[in-house]
Amino acid sequence: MSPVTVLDALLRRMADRASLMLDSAERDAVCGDLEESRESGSRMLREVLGLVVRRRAACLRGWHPWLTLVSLTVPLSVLVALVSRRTADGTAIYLWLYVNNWNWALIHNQGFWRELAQCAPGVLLSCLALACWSWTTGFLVGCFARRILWFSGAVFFVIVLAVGVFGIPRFFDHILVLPRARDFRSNSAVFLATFYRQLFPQCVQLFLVVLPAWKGMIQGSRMDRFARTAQVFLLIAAATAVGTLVSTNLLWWQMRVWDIWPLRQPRLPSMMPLAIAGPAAYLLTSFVRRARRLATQT
Amino acid sequence: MLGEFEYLLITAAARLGEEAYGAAIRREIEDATRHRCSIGALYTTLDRLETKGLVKTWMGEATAQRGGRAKRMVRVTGKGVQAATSFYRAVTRVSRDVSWDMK
Repeated sequence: MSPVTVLDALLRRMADRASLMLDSAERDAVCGDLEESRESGSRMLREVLGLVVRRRAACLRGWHPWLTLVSLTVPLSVLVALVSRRTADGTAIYLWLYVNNWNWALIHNQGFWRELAQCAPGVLLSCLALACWSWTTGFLVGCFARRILWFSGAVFFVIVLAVGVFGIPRFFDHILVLPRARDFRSNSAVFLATFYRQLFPQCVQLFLVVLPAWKGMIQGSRMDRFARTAQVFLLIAAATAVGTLVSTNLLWWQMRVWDIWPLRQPRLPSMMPLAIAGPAAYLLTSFVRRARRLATQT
Repeated sequence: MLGEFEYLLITAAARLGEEAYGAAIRREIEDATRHRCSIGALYTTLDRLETKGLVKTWMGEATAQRGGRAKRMVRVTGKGVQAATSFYRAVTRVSRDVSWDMK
């Protein structure tokens, strides 16, 4: 078999794969037309991709996708990215403390265990909260931007990455709780290490933001398989979780939660435990749905 | 008023009659214009025309020649005939007394 034939077969295969992005009826018609016209592999691939791009671009017409993007995708991705950066930096300090200064003699030290017992749950809970917020934001994006999920998803992940790498302008300093761990000189030993400064935040982003958010987007885009009541329940739970995400990023709220507000005003409760509301409601709703389906089958 | 490509598509479909489907319309347009007609342009225009009620499409039978894939059959509606006629008349009127023949 000549290299040209092999390349042509490969391109045809790629065109066939690309056509999966079309509706099944349209896929049939388009692939059949190209087959009938005896087009070359490269031409087939170009034609199919051209149609896919046109179809995707058509979804961006009108105000709805842009409103979803501006009101939901962009702000939520910025907030999640901020929490991700704060969690990564906070966790990095503890990780450095225990891993980079490890001494086997510590195992026999009671103070070590007491300190570990104090900080470990907090670190683990903040990681859990981050994963839950990421899932919830992904779920809402998947739910409200179903038709342009490819676009909203891309914007979401690009913003998360950009905020993780470049941070956000200091202009927002008086509104949002920006990551500050690196500003303190006492933490400089931690962030001098390239791993904690660059690699670790990216790992946190990948495992606690990108993967949960991706899963949430897919599950959110299939929201219509739930009954109407379940959908309302899920949206209320997701909105509650997003409320906690917003509150944890707002400077005035955090000042009141931390009890360092100088005026005599009631202290606000931390809403962080409610971060799990979204995934918990989803697990519960899926369980009920499955149980009902099993009951009707038997 | 129709666009130029919409007119080409409706006219090709009308000429093909019962045999009007994606690949056949594409061939007609390419033969008439001597330019390549992209599948993307063809199918998105077809959708637009169907939304406007100028053509009707449905999935036809599959043939071995097409690798067992179904055809998207096209029929021009009465409204489509009217729109194409109106476009043709406008082009004829505006072209009166103008000669584009190459000397």
